[in-house]
Amino acid sequence: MRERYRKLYDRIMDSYRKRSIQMLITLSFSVLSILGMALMGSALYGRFAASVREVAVEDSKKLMDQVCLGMESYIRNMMRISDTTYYAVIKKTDLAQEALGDKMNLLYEANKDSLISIACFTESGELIEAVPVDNMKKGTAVTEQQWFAAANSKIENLHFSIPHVQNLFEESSYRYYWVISLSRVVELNHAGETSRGILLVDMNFSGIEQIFDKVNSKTSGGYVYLMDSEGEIIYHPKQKLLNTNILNESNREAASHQDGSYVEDFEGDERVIIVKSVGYTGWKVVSVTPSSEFTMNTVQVRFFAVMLIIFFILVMLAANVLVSSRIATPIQKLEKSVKELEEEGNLAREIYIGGSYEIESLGHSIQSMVNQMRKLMDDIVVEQEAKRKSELDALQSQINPHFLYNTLDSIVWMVESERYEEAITMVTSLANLFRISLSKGRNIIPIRSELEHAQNYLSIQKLRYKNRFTVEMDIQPEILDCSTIKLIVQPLLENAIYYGTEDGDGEITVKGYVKDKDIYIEVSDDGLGMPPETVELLLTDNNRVRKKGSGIGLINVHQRIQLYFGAAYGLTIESEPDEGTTIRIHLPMVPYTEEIGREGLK
Amino acid sequence: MRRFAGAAMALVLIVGLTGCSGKHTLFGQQEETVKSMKIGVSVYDQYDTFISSMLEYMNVYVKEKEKQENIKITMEVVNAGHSQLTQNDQVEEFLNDGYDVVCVNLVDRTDASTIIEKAKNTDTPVIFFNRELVEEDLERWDKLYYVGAEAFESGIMQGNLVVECCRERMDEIDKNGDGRLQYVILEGEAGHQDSLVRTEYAIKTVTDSKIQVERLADEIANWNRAQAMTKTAQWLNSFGEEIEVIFANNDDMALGAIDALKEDGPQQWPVVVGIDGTDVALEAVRKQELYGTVLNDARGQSEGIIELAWSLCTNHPLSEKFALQDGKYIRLPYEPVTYQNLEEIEMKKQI
Amino acid sequence: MKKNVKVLLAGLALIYLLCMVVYGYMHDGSAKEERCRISVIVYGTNLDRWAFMREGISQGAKDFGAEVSVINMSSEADAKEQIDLLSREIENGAQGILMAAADSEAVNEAVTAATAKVPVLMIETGIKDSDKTLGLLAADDYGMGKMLGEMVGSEHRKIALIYEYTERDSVKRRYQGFMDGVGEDADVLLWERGEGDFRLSLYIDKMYRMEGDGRALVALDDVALEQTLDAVTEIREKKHREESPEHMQQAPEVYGIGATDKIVYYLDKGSIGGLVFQNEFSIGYLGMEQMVNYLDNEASVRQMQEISIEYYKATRENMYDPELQRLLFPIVQ
Repeated sequence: MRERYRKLYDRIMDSYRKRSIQMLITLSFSVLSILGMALMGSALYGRFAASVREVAVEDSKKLMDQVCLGMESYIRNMMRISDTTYYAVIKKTDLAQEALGDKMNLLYEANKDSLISIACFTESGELIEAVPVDNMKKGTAVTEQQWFAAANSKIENLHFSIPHVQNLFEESSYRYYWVISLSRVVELNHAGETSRGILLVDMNFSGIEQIFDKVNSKTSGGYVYLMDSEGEIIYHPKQKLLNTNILNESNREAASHQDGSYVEDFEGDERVIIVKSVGYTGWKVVSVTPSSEFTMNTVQVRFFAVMLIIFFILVMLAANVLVSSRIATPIQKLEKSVKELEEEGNLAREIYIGGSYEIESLGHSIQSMVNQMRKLMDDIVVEQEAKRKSELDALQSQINPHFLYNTLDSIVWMVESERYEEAITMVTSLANLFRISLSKGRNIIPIRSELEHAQNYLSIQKLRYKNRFTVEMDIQPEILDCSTIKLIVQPLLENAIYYGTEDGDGEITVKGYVKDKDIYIEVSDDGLGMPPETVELLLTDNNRVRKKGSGIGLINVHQRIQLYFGAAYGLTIESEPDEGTTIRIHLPMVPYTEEIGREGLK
Repeated sequence: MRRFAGAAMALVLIVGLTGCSGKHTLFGQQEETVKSMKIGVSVYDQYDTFISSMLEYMNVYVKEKEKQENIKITMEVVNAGHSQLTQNDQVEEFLNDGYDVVCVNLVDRTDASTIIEKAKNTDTPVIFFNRELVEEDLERWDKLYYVGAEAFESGIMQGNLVVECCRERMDEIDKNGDGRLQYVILEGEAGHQDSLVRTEYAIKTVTDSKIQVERLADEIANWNRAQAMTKTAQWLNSFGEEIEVIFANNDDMALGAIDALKEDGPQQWPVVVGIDGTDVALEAVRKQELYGTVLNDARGQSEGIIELAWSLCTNHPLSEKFALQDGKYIRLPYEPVTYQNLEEIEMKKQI
Repeated sequence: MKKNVKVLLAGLALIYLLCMVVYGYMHDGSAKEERCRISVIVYGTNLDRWAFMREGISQGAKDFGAEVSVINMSSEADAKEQIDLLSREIENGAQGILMAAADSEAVNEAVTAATAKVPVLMIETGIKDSDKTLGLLAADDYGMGKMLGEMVGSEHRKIALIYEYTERDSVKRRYQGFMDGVGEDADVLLWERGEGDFRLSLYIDKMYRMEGDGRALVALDDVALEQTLDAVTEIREKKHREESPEHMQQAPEVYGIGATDKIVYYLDKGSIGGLVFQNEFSIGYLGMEQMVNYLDNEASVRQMQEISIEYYKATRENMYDPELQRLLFPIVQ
């Protein structure tokens, strides 16, 4: 099982790696920004939702306060009318002499917007005075009405009734009034005798309806209703539905709660209930808000949010693509030009320089590397040219016509002079010379062979230049099996013979030794020497045409040594005029093997 | 190419964002030939006898118009119950629900601004009726109309009724023989235009015909029969026989006075006159309890309202029966009613 | 790469623009488009007697989101007019019809034909084939009649029944219930208007003078009841003026089915011995609920069969009881 996940992981990582830079950048940016946005979005949403909830609750509370204020003002108004009627009118009126009517009428006219009627009764339910209408219905049992009984039962209090239809006065049209009755016991004054009476103030219930209507039309989904202290509903926006049991309400539940807010689950819906008591009456205003008001669950909000997210994703993608292409395109161009360079092998091709700082710097570096490569390759070409030329020279010198003619002439003369022993030596030496000269075409030979070649040459020259010079050989045996290129000693000897022994009795010394792990072979003569300027020119002036000898110049030897072994090696010349000249060959110590002989030095 | 794409994106953005907020009728509104219209009516008190008779007539005329013009007319009547605030809310609802015309029987004639403003905003014509608003208010917009009658006319005619009566039997009426009419008057509403005007002109007309009068009392009975009854009963208590004439600003109150008289009236009743000419009042005239009244042409006014409403909705010219005075007013004349011309008046009231 | 990217972006922008358009349409249309258009066609010329039901209808319209127009007629029971109104409403684009039939037999065909075009729900009075419509929302007429019969039968033996508007099924059923409830030994006269009789109240007055003395008058629907009350008030008035023949001792007691504000006023006055009435608010409200749910293809909380409209009896004594008070005086001025 883990294997599978491993494999899957590997595959994903692989495919991730193989993607182009642009894809990588785009993908990474996209993933990161989506993650970032999601995190930020959910954090903000959470905060926002919380604050929406807070605001909604605050709103509800404010509305509640507004309603409560309205209710309290309504109730206070009622109470004031009742108080005024009692204290300013009834108490001051002697019923034996005056009627209450005029003053009560004043009060009525001043408050007729919210008042239905003011009426005063005796203890037994007889009407004393009522405004604006005092025509009682026949057969009304005043004492049995709830407001009357309530006032009578507790005489010190004001009693507020629940809303009811006024059932007292004759009305000529089919009009009826829903009222809230405020009743109290009053002291009636009849010629100094006091008796008990009941004062009734009937307020228009539509006043309460208006207070709540305004509030209920503003909120959506939530509503506010009014109930008394026991939970009996006084006003509810859906009153009629409640009456016919089409709807239910949790008013009894709410009545049992103290003022404050709480959450309830009613018929499957979660709602927030806020209860607030209204002063004087013990009534309670209840605000009901379904929880869906707090959460932003509306289709519209969701749709809007989704649209917004899609919009931002689009913008982000576009931005990503643009930004990543700005970064990736120069890289791609660079890559392309390098690829082309590689495929075509055309070093002259220009590398793309551009893009951001690092890419540009990379471009520059690659360009200079390419330039350097080009230069190196050019150098190699030049080197190879030079090598070829030297070898050609050397090749050429392997068979020198002049030397050959002269030696053959000497041999002929010797044979003609019947100096057969000398002739044999010369022929043999010549043969050997040419054998080593050619060396089966090899360029690297053991020093032993090279010195042998030199010996052969010397024996020939000795015979030719009878006793013009003497040669001393001092060779350390270690060097004999080391590698060297051919034809380096002989030209030196040639030089020594021709330029170092012109006045006869020349002494030539050939030394070979190891020093500092390198091999040195010196050819010294005690001839005329050369001035320093000539020494300098000797190794540098290639155009100097050789007059005599085998033709390989010192320059050639020097160059070949350097070509084969490197710039550290080669020839050095020491010369003192009239003293002599020493030419030193400096070689590395490379033991000779068949392999080196065949394949050359690496 | 790039620039074009950028501009296109910007355009998309702008359109999208503005589409999200605010109202945006992307697909326009459908236009239909006028096959239906909605009239909203708000009355100050649906139990007012005169008003309820107007509503009955309006119903009948609506039905007739429907048949006549093959158009569906929905008339919604709501009762403002003496509250201007309620009426404002009711009118607002009509306007929001896209009613074509709103007919308003103002509760408070000085407080028409809210209604006028709202109607202007929704470009809905308003026909005020029966309770007249201030002229300046009516001038505020050219789609405000008023259907009613000239209040002072009714006052004059009521006064004339009493003058006529006096001409016939002054000695009967003048119970105390002092050559003056002792009267009480039941007034409609405090500060109400019609009340003031009717009261003033009725009395003035009487005094202008050289009959002297003496006011015993006047009370406000809020156009209400029961209240009028109460007040009259109180007066009967105080003044009893002294009352020679009872003026009432409308028939309901006059009938209330008659109710009180029936209960506890003197042997010889005072002359009672009202204004409106409601069916009940005409009955009372027939029974000779009410001396006379002044017919407020409810039938004519209702017809006028419906015709005007229809003409406004359908852009047809107004029927020739009704002339728009000053381009705003349809005023129908009052007519005095007594026992003599009762039959004639009753015929007039039929549709 | 450049070109591809551009194409991609353009494509996405186009999709986005499309979505915005849809959103704008939804946002704009949702406010209005969702509201169903429902017409309520009731019999009778007077919309006041339907006041309580109209309260229920407008509350239902608000709660369930519908545009409603209530249409009455220019005559009491003209079947043809009602049929005309029905087709007019359907033509005008009503999506649902609530109907109180003026004549259960005569409009039967037209209504059942109409159900093919729009859903029809019968309220208060159905047609012969009510089951072909969405159903009938009314109280149990038979039960109401029976309750009334029992109420009357317990007080009176001699009864005159105003036999009117029986073209309505509801009235017929009430009649059957009444006859079953009033008791075997009741003496019931049926007063039915003939050709020459125009106004019902005049007719009742006439009949009363002929054979009505000592009888309780019973009406089975609110219009008949109101007319009866008018007649009785006249009779009372005459009594007051002592114009009536001596053998008439007292004004008759009236009983009936219905609860318009006029009827309630007379109940309060004492002219009515007893009433039976149904909860028309429920009919209006539940009717709206059923219709809107049907039009929105939503399952109703209540099924039609489960709904029962309540009916109550009221007398002068109990009319001010809190529960009855709310039903008899439904509207706060």
